[in-house]
Amino acid sequence: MPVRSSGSLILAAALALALSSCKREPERGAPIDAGAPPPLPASSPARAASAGAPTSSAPGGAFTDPDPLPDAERRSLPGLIAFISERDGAPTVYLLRPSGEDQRRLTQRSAAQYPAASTPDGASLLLVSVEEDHENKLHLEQLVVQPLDGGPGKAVGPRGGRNRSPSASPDGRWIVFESDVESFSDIYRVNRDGTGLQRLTRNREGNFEPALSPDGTQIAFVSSRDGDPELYRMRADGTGQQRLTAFHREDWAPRWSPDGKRLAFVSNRETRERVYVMDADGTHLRALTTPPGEAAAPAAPPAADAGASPRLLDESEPAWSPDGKRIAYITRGGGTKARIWVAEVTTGVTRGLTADTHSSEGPVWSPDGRYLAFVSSRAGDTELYVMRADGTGQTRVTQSKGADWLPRWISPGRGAGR
Amino acid sequence: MYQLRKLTALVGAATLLAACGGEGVDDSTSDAPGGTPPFSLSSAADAPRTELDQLFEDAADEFDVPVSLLKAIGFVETRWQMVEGEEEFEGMPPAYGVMALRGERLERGAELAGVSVEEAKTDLLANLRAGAALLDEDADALGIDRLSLGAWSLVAASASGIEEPEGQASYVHNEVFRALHDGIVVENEGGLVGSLMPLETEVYQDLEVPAPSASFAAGPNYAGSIWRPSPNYGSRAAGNIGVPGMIIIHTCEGAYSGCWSWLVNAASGVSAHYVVNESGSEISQLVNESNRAYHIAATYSCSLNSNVECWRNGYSSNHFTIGIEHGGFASQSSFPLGQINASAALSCDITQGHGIPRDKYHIVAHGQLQPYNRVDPGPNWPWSTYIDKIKQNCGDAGGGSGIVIDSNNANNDTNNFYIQVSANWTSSTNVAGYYGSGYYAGNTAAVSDGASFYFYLPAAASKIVDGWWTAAGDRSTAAPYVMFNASGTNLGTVNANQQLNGGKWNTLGTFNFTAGWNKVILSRWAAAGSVVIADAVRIR
Repeated sequence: MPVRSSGSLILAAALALALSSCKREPERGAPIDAGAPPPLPASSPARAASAGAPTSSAPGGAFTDPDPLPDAERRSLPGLIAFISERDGAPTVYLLRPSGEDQRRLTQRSAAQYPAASTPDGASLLLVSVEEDHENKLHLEQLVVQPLDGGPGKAVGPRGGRNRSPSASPDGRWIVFESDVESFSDIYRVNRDGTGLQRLTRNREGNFEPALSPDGTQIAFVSSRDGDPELYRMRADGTGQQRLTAFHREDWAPRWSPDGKRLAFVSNRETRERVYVMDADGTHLRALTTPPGEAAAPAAPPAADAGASPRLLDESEPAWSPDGKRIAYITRGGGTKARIWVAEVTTGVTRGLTADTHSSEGPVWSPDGRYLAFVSSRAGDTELYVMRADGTGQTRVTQSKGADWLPRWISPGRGAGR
Repeated sequence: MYQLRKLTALVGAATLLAACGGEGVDDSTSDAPGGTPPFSLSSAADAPRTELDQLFEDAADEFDVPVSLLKAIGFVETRWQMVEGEEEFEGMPPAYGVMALRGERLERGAELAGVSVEEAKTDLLANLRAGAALLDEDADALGIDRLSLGAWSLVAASASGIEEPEGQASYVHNEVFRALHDGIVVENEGGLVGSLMPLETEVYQDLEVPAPSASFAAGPNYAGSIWRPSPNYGSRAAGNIGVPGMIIIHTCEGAYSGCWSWLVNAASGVSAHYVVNESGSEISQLVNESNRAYHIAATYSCSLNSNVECWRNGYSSNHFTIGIEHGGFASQSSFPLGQINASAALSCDITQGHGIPRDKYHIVAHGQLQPYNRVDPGPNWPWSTYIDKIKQNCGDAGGGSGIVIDSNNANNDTNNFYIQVSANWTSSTNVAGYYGSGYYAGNTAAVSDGASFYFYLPAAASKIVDGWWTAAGDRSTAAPYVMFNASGTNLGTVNANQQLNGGKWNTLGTFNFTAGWNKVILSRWAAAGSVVIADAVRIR
């Protein structure tokens, strides 16, 4: 049989039909060259179809990590990991030590709760609490400051259709967030005790995804005010709003470097989604994995068949290492499983840490930058894992039925132990 | 990503087959051996048989149901993908496998096939066997003549789970029997997934399920839709400050006819404004855009909440949402291009009608209303492509109503426009306010070594040319932009002061370009001692 592209295969199919139909051979007789059924393609439909099905290893089943961290090393990992668990039904915040020990449910509230960020002192979490009133078709979000010691949470800011993307000031006294309380979407700040609600932006097209700089003086955010989502920054009181990017596709997900000098973000300007880095004033922009010096275009026009090159993967979920030298991110697309990579910021050299056999995503750094926590479905169920920052020692830390996801690695502090 | 095509090649083969009919079996009159219904002969027995085709045959043979019907129903339900459905509507259990078996029928099918429910959900053959067993049971229950194709239409209707007669009719005639009539070819990147030969007989004439209504009114807000009004809506709250609003993209977690049938059923209590079918050939409008469909609400209206906190009325804008359902499943590996195109045209129309910005913050996935998503918004919904297509439909792709030629070819559609510079130009990102991902700087000198912004025009046209640069004190005050048509004729030169007006579009003039590859050259030929900045050029 000739090797076939999908197009010629169809042609062959048609031909086979025509040929065999005109013969008085038995319908499923001995192979005749053109009329014989072709060999199954490498990813045959049945196999491709069943690939989406859960693997045989149920949660807590036969799956074992091939190269887990030694117990002593696991117990040395700093801080606490907060995450969402669906083991009790609705998404609820749980805490555990990175060793997997001391798992506990943070609050007993029945509303779905999502851990957005920790306060700088490591003593509290900023939660987005979501009530779904199915009977009345209502969706209501409320920000909550929740102490890690399990004490009562404090609702701050308005309750409404959308209140999200909170980040706390370095002194923990105020919170920046996005809300639809008075408009489609704008950026607000409010004191941690719930007083002093201030609206910082005012555009009918909306402002989104505020990120407070590590020193608390600036807010990076996304705005559609100029027709499509671009990155902006402003002072923490809302003054001095400045556009940082310009392109007619979309830029989003600003993330401050730990020293506050740079921003990582995601853009689909090259059609596919890629992670970019730039200085906080908008200069020195480049794709994370493009080596510096090749920042702009290839000088020559592309070859005529450039459009035929294989589609490259989408990149997302950038996360700065605590020393600001590396960025973890994920790739997905083109039918591939999500995969975690870490790139050196100065060189753009990147390395895949997880295999592409099962999806791994949501990377977050340990406070000392030596480990990453992430989410993977390699054991069938969605569970939390930790690994060294070089990708070795991938170790499952949760084993509950129902998804465990959205890890937030909290620095050791008053609330986080050690 | 697989491509789904009803290939003319296959139709051609069928014609060819008919042409040698003098020697062939006359399907329409001969008694098929072994009581096999005559129409099952036209299954793709002669086509290259894939593993999936074989499994369909095994399941159909075992339960004495026509393999063509089993295949057509599986195709209509899932495009032959093993789906793992989610509960999209309350009261509608999630669907599993190629046959999209749900709830009690899933359990019954598993029982009849002698497999566990888990197997019927996740194992391909078990799922097909469970589906076939259910059709077999339905055929017995309905007492149909198994040799009559038209009689099997009753089984298809019954198996659909659709209660609305009009929905049943649409499902049977426009989906299942259309697939039988047209034939099916499913491919993925690995090649042929499976196929079904088109039926040669006229499949519609003898169906015992009545045909759907012949004439339809268009929906009140979209001329390209069929108006199937749903009783499940409310008025939007007064004092709505909810401009500009959002479009919310849903997947039905099931097939099209069953989807809209469920949403127009008063008992379901749910709705959406629109439902787009799998191929994009049909859109139903169920609720007027001026009303609130019961799809999802990120809203507050005190009348819906025991009149508590009425001061909040109008203080949550997201109740102005327009919901579009799509036949299919969030878990499917790709969405048919026709469906994406039809939905993009509809979304463009909605955004124009309500002044909704066309971007990822205003056109969002159902799941994206949650602050966080485990499965990133519909993992395989092609968001960037979709929003690009909406913009194209609205004539604002590529930055406003024109095209933008960026200084980074990675950002250009190089089949239609690109930049070319020599090695004497330096790539830079030093001054903020550049378009895209950086710019080129060239030292002024008496040389012909410009930065060339090429663009293709299919026909001659008068176009406005805009330039974008980053301004600084070392820039030329007379940077020469020279316009050329496709024949290389110089159309004029405009000198721009690049020490001013950086980080925005500056109009250079209007020129009569010709069909073919035109260009705008930013020349370095200016007073020495400064630089010229080639950042981006817009043609509109």
